[in-house]
Amino acid sequence: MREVCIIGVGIHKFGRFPDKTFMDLGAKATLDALKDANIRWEQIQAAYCGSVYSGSGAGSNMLAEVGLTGIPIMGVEAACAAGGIALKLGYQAIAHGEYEIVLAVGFEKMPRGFIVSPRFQDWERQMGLGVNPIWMALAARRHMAEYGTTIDQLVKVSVKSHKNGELNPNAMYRKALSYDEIINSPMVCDPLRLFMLCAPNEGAAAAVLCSKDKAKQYTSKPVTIAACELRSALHVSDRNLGVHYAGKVRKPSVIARVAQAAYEAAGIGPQDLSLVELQDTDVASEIIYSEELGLCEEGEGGRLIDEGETEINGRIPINVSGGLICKGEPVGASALGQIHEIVLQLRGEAGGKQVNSAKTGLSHVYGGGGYSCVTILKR
Amino acid sequence: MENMRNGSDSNRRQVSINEKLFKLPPPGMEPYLAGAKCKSCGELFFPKRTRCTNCSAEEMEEVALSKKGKIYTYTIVHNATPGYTGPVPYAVGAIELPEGIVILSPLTQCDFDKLEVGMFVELVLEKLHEDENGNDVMSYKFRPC
Repeated sequence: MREVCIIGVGIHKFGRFPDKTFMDLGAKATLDALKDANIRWEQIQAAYCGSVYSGSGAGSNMLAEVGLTGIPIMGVEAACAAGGIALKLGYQAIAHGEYEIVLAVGFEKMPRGFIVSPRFQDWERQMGLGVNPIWMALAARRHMAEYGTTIDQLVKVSVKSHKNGELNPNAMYRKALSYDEIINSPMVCDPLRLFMLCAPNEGAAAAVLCSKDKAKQYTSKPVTIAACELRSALHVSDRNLGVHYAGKVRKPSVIARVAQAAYEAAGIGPQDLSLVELQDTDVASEIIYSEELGLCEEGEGGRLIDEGETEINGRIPINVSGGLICKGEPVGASALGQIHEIVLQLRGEAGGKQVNSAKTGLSHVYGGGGYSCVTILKR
Repeated sequence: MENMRNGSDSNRRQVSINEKLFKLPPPGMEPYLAGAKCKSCGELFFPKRTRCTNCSAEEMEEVALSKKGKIYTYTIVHNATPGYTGPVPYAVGAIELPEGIVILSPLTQCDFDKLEVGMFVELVLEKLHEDENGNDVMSYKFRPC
């Protein structure tokens, strides 16, 4: 297996764009990534496209706005993990010698309002069980009961995220919020309030991947993919969306397992990370995933925010981009949006949110139903 | 059909929201939730399924789940969601049964402010709505006990 680098990244900022189609968003991110990589579209040998709500033929339809070169175009749907899997497929293809240069791109225009998933049956909907924030709220309350995590800690995570979001020109919410504004925001699913939850929205992000031995032809700042691992549910309790609670609750979770696989593949441990972009669909998830990713001991996630360890200048900065809380969540684009942030950080190009001496970063996504993808990048 | 709609409560028929979850018990009997137990490894699931996710065996037997358990976690939902026509806010819990599994259920007949992880709860059936034939569609729920 060869080493693989990211030689260019591009992004369409996240938000709501009524005048743009998913094709516009994806094409913008793709063209910016090509430009960043000093690569022409004609040099891309294959494209991996992550999107969930863009309908039939999404990858092909979007890339037609970039060009037609007859290359293999592969579409990936995996809920919030779609972009991570697009990256993994591109990474595998180069690592195994099939291609030299590929594109991984994620793009999305989330439907507005509550998302009605075909996964829920009528009885679940009628009983009021077919609703996304419920799973996050149930996990939050359990964590509070099991480990003493507090509302105060949840609020502080949101304060941190919003403070970071102000520094991210590609985030949707770019205004710091006060502790009081957050704790007084409307309750959605107790204990999670509006400003503790991310909003589904629109956006796109892309990365150009190249074999390491050729990367320096295109960029003076290649970023190496040290690991890109994907796992799915081993236990019923790994799958949220209601199925979580349909049997015995077991650990370690799919997140802990995939993170372990990624650390092993990269030959590093969590203590070696300069920053982490994880899937904070809600502030409790940030606390829970920080434990499952091994950034602290089980039950200690709340202490990280209390002691400032996850701030931009802290021991282990989490979501310096503002996280999903500020960026919003266009599911297909999420993982690649995280990759975009980490690449900028490792190049020293992250502006006001730059982490000092950033050398290694971890991206984590979890797709509703049980997919989790963890990628580790290094300079 | 006429007296099904206009009759007294005792004439109105109750139907389960989904017979796979529970059946309406005969008079004098109590309802139970139907779980599936793997004959090969003993793993338990609710709702029922035909293949075991623990060992991949395909021989399951139906078992009556315990009617009492503890709140493993809970939430109060503040918005109606597609398909739900009940009162808002409403409570949902994950209930830990003595068999060692945790199942999802609406919570009812409870003071939201008094809900706590670890509270004992018991199974009840409650009317959700009426179907197009005037039957009372019954849901399973758990309430503090």
